[in-house]
Amino acid sequence: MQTTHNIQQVARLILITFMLTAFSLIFWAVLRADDILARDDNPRQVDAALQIQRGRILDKNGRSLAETVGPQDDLQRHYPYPAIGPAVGYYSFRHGTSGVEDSFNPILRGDSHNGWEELWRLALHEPQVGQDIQITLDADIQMLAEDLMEDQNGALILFSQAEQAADVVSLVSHPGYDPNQLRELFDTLLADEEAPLLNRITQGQYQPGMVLQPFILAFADDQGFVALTETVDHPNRPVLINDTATYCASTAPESATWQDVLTHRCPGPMRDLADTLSLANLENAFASFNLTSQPVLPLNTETATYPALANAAQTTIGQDNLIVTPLQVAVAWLALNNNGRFLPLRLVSHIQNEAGDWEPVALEPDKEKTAVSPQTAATILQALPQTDGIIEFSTLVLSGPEGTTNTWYLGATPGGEAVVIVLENQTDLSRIETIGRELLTAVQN
Amino acid sequence: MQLLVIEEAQEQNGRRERLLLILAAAFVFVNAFVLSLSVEGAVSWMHLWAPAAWLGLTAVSHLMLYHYKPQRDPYIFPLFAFLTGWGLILIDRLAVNFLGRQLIWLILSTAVFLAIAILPRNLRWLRRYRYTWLTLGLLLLAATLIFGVNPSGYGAALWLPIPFIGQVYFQPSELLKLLLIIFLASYFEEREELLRVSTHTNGLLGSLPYLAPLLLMWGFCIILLVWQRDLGAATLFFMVFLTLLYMATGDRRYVLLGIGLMIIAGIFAYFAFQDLVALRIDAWWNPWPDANDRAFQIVQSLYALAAGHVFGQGAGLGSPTYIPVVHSDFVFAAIAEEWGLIGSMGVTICFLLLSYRGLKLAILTQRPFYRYLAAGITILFTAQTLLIMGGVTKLLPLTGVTLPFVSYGGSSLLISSVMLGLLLFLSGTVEDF
Repeated sequence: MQTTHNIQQVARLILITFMLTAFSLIFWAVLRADDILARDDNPRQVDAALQIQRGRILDKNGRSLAETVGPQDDLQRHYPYPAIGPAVGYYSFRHGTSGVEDSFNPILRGDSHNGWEELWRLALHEPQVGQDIQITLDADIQMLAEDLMEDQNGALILFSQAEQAADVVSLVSHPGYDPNQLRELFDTLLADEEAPLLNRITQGQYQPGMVLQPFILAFADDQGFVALTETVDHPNRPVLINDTATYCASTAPESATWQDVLTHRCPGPMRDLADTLSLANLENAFASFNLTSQPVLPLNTETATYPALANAAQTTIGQDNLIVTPLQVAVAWLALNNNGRFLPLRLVSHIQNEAGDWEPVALEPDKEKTAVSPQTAATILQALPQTDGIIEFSTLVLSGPEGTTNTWYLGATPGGEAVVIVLENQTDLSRIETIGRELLTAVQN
Repeated sequence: MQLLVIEEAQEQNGRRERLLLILAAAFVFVNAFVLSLSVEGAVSWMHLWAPAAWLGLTAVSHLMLYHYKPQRDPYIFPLFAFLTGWGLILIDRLAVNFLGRQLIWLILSTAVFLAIAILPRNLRWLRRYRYTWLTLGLLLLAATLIFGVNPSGYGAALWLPIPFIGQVYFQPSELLKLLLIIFLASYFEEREELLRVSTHTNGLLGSLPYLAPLLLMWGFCIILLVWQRDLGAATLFFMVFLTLLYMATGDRRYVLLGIGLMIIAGIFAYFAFQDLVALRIDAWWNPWPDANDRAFQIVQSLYALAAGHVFGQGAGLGSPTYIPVVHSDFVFAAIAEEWGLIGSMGVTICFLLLSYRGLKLAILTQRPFYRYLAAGITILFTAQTLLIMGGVTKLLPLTGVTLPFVSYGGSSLLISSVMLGLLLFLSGTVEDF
């Protein structure tokens, strides 16, 4: 009897221990499962990610810009137009995602929102298949823009204005990279002093210089600080920037108006404008053209952080603390070309839904925000030089204390195409003007 | 009349066993088909020949038991068949190169299981020569100090090559488990009354003279195992010894003393065996900072448990092979990943049922030697199962023992089969079991 009792005691202990084991199983398989499966060092995550048949990225004409190729156990992301890297971005299991690949990652991966469908797929171990997206870029124009830029470092963004939005037709950032070779070259690209992985369109921060002139004058006219028909004193006098005398791009008449100042891109009278426009009003001018806010585009856009504006005279010629990205200038330029009203930017036009049908991408609600009145915008555009029907504004900018010189180009066609280009370490204005004109002419044709 | 009732009961047991075996066979074949479909994309003989051989073996075994061992526990053989069948599916899934070898071990183990269950008239031959058996076991274990090898080429040299057969190895510590249980059962049978009275009247220290031979032999085992760094087996021996001692004396002070000694030994081992004990305890206490290095195995095991969720990934559809030596020490994690919580709970319940049947047998059997033998075998199975399940689920530090009948390993399977055969034999000695 004694032994029987002892065995029963042992049996109770065994039962408790089995129950502890069962609880431990429930703890890991149910209660903590999601937490620990999400850890970065879980190789099952890697397996799952490598099995995803990521969706395609198509250009506006349906040509594939990014696609997943290869057998299911060795899927590779392939980019038929390698030069399109900065626009499309890249997808790499090891190095992550960027560009549109990053912004639309859940759609391209096919992350389902339907719980039952997802459960069913997991139960059958079917591979995850992503949806396609269509972007507004035109592969032909993009390749042309790439060719025109040659080996010149800088950025180019080309829009086509429609009623509801401005479609991005081309995005070039030089130097770029071939996303097909990211795995082999990533460390080299990362260490490269010229920063090829930096998207100069959305993240490149440049001294604006005289490229601000149309926007400052538009603001000043719109707010009644000056009238564009007023005459100015000594329009051709130079200004010193970093001990370098800077003159008008072309000689203005001695009895020049503010319109002439704009036409000839004269810096001298702009410094006088500082007396009329205080720093606060200059800040308002930049804010009214969204030059200090972050553009909305499904890319990694940035707004420069810079010290407060310090010198109104320097600010009027873009040589104070304000720095901008080409995309910010493009937003302002588009507003000027759209009767002073901002247009939402569009890079992705359609997304395939889970049923395989195309759906248009909803645009940001139109806030009807205007930079300046339509009359002011029209007056400014009329004052700008024109070549073969193309409105353009190009300028040299001394950039920083090193004395490097960048060039800016703003161009627009009557048909609604607009381009902003910046070239680094370039002193020859004709180079940037050629790129702008040839590109806009090609788009018009 | 009584004979008719007994025959009816035996017939009913036979039917119950047959039904359980049919269910086991259904499980094994469904999973063999699923494995074949998931790995090959079609039903392939490559994944069916081993289950087919298992089915033949099981059917023959059942018929032999039906004819030659009519009075028996109807659950023990189905549990053996179910767990070994599942084990074959797992080895096919996790280490297909070892499948043929494991099947040969299974055939041999089943034959030994049947022989032990059916042939002996009694177990006097075991009881009478207890010192001889244990000495033989110790000599075999000691031989590994000189001739020991490790088939994987690294780690503790715990195996002896079997001559003239080729690449076949035997692990003497597995045999020693059984021999030690036989020794303890025989010893307690003789001395239980004496020990109980002495403990009651003279206290723990006063009982030491009666325990001296037992402590001596057991001490030899522990020293040899620690020398060999087979700490998993040493822990098992200690647990079995302590439980049987408690059963014999009913004195909890032995248990408390034993646990105290175990803690002291653990602390000593932590500092003495930095590369073995300290590593495992550190990895158990907090594996995450070292997840890609020293705690890789346990962390991968936890990932497997989590990936399985409730219903599992399905046979052949998970990634349990990320766990090093998954087919041996971590087969339970593979079950949890591919069969989910349902599968791992199923295995847990199987072993709980085995514990229940074994302890019930120990209670019902009249002869003290049989009682201690049944209890010792049951405790060993249970302790081994809980040690590895606890290790895989991070409830306990890892001890490096196999999951009985399921894990890959010939010696373990053979000795486990002998022990289960003994349980089945003992169940035949109890009339109304």
